This record gives sequence, C-alpha cells and structure tokens, in this order.
Amino acid sequence: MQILKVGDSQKAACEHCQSFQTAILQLKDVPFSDGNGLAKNVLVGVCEGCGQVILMPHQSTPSVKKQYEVQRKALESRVPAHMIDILNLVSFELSGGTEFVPNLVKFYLHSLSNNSICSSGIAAYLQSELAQGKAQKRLSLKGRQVSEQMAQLKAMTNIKSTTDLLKGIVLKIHDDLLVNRDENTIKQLKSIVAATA
Amino acid sequence: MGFKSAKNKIITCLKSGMVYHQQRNNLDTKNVLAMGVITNEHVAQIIARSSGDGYSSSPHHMDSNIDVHIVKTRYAGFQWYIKWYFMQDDGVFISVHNRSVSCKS
Repeated sequence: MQILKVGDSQKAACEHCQSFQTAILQLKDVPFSDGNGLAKNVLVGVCEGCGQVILMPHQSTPSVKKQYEVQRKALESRVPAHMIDILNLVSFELSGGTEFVPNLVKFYLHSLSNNSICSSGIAAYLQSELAQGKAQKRLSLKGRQVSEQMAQLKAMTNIKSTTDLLKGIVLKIHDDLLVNRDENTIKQLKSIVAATA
Repeated sequence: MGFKSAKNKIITCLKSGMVYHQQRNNLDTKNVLAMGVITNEHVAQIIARSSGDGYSSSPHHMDSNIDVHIVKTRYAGFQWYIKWYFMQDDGVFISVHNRSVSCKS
C-alpha cells in the first residue's frame, strides 16, 4: 500500500491552470463540494501554479469520510400521527418495542437504497389516503449511513422531499408487513429484534 | 493502450492503493470512492466485470499524450460511470459515480 507524506508531489490536471501541474501534498482544510461543511487538516495535493487543491490521495479517504459523516445532523421530519402508529404497530408485531422503530425504518432505508427491496412503487404511495394528514409527530433518524442512503433513494425514486420519502417508506413498511405480511422480511426483522433486544 | 491493458493497470493501482482523486478546489462528494462510500476492492470488481462495450478512451484535453479512460457498466443493480487517467504508475480518478437501475416489482 502506497503511503504518501507531506511534501511529496505528483503531477495532475489543474482545471484552473488548464494544464498538468505539479501538486505538492499538504495538510489543508478543504470544503465539500455539496456545501456540507469542510474536511479539516486533510492531506491533499495543491497546485504549484495556482495554489488550488487539485488532488486527493487514497489515504485521505478514511479521514474525509469520517468528517463528512460527523457534519451531517440527524434526519428529522414531521409526519401525520397515524404514520408513527403504523411504525409502532409493526414493531409490536415483530416483538420489538417502540424503541425498535428507528431500526425498522433504517432497515428499509438500507434495503431500498441497495435494491434488495424494490423501490419502484414508493412514489405511488404518496397519492394514497394514508399519505394525507397533518404533520403532528416527529420521526428522527440517526446513523452513519442515513444521509447517504436517503440521498441514494431520493435519486432512485425521484422524490425530492425528505418528508415525502420518509412517508413513502412508512407506507411501504405498512404494505409489506401489515397488509401483505411478507414472511421473508418479517423473519429478517425478527432476527434483528432478537439480536438487539 | 487498449481496454485490457487499461483495465488491468487500474485494477493493480486500486489493489495497491496507488490512486488519487482529481479535485476542483473542493472535495467532490459525488465521487463515491473518494468519499469512502465504496472501497478500492469494490471498484476493482466493478471494472473487472466490465466489458469492452462499455469502455472508451480519448486524449486528455490538457495533454493529448495522456489518455482518459471511461468505463460505463452495470453492476449489482447500479449503473456505474468511472473515469480516470494514469500518471506514470498511479491512477487518477476523475469520476466514480453510480445511479440505481430500476428493478422489477
């Protein structure tokens, strides 16, 4: 595994200089391109010509990843009260308590975003009667991968609003586990309840 | 450099950690490899499974002696777009992007 040090150099393309330049590796604070704060004291390659950051070595990825995740806050949305009741009911049926609700939602978020549960019908749930109602209760999710998976699922379903996406996920949970009683998914979730009890 | 050579070389770079990520004065959060969403090993698998149909290369607009390689391929339910060039023995990734492919309900 190649390990680089401050002061090492590498040639790379510089968009600002519009040419290949020598980049010198330095520790710098660098902003994230999506505006979600910045990564502090990261080893990056700085263009000798213009001083811009043009390169990031592989060894900086773990630190960048950690700092990116920390800067994201917990995901929170207000949803109709009956949606929290749906989640509580499902948890109850799985022999979990209300404290299992975040894990239930995160299981679905994970499975939908990596395609192990199909997400193509999620948007349609938002047209249903159960999707309506005053936003009276709060649903909060924390987790290292929550924001990434939400972003992934938004891209997959074309649902731009976090609240709408969470509503869609809740109604998917309702459909799968209370209406259609998908035995496979129920079995997986019961194992998780048992393991985390 | 043909598809097979480019493929083998970038896989070697990934497995030995000899990779960099191009940046534009910020950290590109869409590059899922640079951001640690996926590992070098995972990208190596994606590229290893790709075929010549999804591969193209063209001279870099800043230096025509340097080729830019692009692989577009489908793997594990995602459409991948991976773009890189070589700087001597190192691979420099310009893009490592993915989007989901619709599944059958």
